[in-house]
Amino acid sequence: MNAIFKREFRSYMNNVIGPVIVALLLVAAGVMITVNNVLLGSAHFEYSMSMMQLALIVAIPVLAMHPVAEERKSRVDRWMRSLPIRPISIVLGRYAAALCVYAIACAVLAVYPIVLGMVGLANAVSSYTAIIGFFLLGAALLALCSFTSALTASPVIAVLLGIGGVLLLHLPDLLVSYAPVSGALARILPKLSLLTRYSIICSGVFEWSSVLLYLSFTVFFLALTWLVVCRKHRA
Amino acid sequence: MIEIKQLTKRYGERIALNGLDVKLMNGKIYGLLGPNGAGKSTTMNMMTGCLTPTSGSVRINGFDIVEQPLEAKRFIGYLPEQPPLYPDMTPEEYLCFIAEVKGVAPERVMRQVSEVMEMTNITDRKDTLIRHLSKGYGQRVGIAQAMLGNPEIIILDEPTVGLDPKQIVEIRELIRRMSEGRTVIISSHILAEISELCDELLVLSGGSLVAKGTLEELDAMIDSTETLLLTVRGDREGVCAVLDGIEGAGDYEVVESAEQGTVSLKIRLERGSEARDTVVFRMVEHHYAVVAMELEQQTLERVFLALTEPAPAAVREEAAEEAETPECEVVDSENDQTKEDGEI
Repeated sequence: MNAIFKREFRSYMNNVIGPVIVALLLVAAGVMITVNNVLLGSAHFEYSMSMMQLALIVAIPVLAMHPVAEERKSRVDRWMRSLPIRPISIVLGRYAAALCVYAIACAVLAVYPIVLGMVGLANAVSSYTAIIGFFLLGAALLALCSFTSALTASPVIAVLLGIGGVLLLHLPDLLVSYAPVSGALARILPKLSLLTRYSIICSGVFEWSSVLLYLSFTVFFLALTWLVVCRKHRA
Repeated sequence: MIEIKQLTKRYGERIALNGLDVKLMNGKIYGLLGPNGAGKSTTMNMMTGCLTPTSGSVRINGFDIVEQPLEAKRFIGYLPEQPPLYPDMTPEEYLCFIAEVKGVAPERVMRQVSEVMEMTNITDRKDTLIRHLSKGYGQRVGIAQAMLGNPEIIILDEPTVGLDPKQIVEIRELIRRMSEGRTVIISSHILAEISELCDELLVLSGGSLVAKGTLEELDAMIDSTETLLLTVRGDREGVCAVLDGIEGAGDYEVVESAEQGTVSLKIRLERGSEARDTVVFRMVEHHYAVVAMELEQQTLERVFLALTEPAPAAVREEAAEEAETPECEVVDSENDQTKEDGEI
């Protein structure tokens, strides 16, 4: 797993994709902060962070698609099966590499509250809670998009499936808001919604159940990815 | 040792490989030979675990490639037809990555990478990005990765395809060097390459193994005679009269001789008979000096065609069937010419 992680991380950073995704997230954060904190004078950095989920709709599927594109370009996918390496190591190595690239963006974002705090535009605790929530949300979406990428050999289809998957996560919120759901379903759906949970975190309320939900979602989709890769290896 | 039992691969109705049964022993170079679509790459892919067989098994040193893949794959180094290279890495980085994946101990990685780079002559390009390497260098990096982890079995699928003649010679030399103490399996369309490198040949045709053995054994399988090229000084009639009297050397033809006053002959002899010696003795007895004598080497092309082409009877049957059911009508046109075989 360590070798795969190092190779994929190097590939992210040697190619355009890693720096571009980091830059995209930082630019998006810059725009949100400029509008929300600087122009509107809000002292809540976390509100800016709550809007950042929009940037993830594109950034995460593109990040997860990269190994598919690389495999296709280098034609190494079938040959990889001749190496004495477990499919789970490939899945986890790739996921960890993508997560590291995303973590770089999150680490740079962690500097923003310090700067904003100097001019009295951010509360440290709620700001860093939001950044942790943003990291967990990204990690969960990355697992989902790793799964959708494993379903296809085409990078374009991988991105489209990833975007579709991320958009589908809005479904519970839309159902609660616009469909006539009531009773237990109306109570359960918001609790299962990753995005509602993120909004709650960004409002300054940190719940361990949210962390558990994000981790469960991540593990579930990584397990699915592993099953797909195993199936490919047995083709 | 590689033990293949009843190995079969189907793609829907199509059978890519049909019940391959073969044992490959340690320390030999095996050549996998066959026309396009014969099942060479499918066999190699299943031997290396890249493809799962529909039925049958492959055991590498006793480990089943499907049931115990990690154990079995540690014995294998594989170079597919398209070298599996990452263009954004240098050869050294790439080989270190492969060594790590193959489970080479961290303290031995650099030493082993240096050794294979030395052996494949890529040390001078170790810091160049793979995307900037020539095809020949790329192929050498591919072979180097197959050698990492010191596997007992190296499988090379068309290792010289697309290379220029100089690179082909270099790669062949490299294969010869790396075969010391290892089992090497090579598939190739280049018959000269196979006959030059390999100890034994496996001939596949239509997804089935049609023959296995050394070139000489395969040649003996398809023909019980050998051809003697003989040049003697003397007159044609006299030489032919001598030959006519020798049992087992009656089938001959006189060919054009380069030297005046000599007669050149192509004599078909029973393989393993004493007729060759008798021919020489009789010629000398009759004072015909033997100027040149050579036993014609059977070419691999001839063996290959004999083993992979349909039998003449089958061809005749096919031709008869085609004649009964013509594929196209004759079109009488100023611009169109239609041939009987359907080719326009």
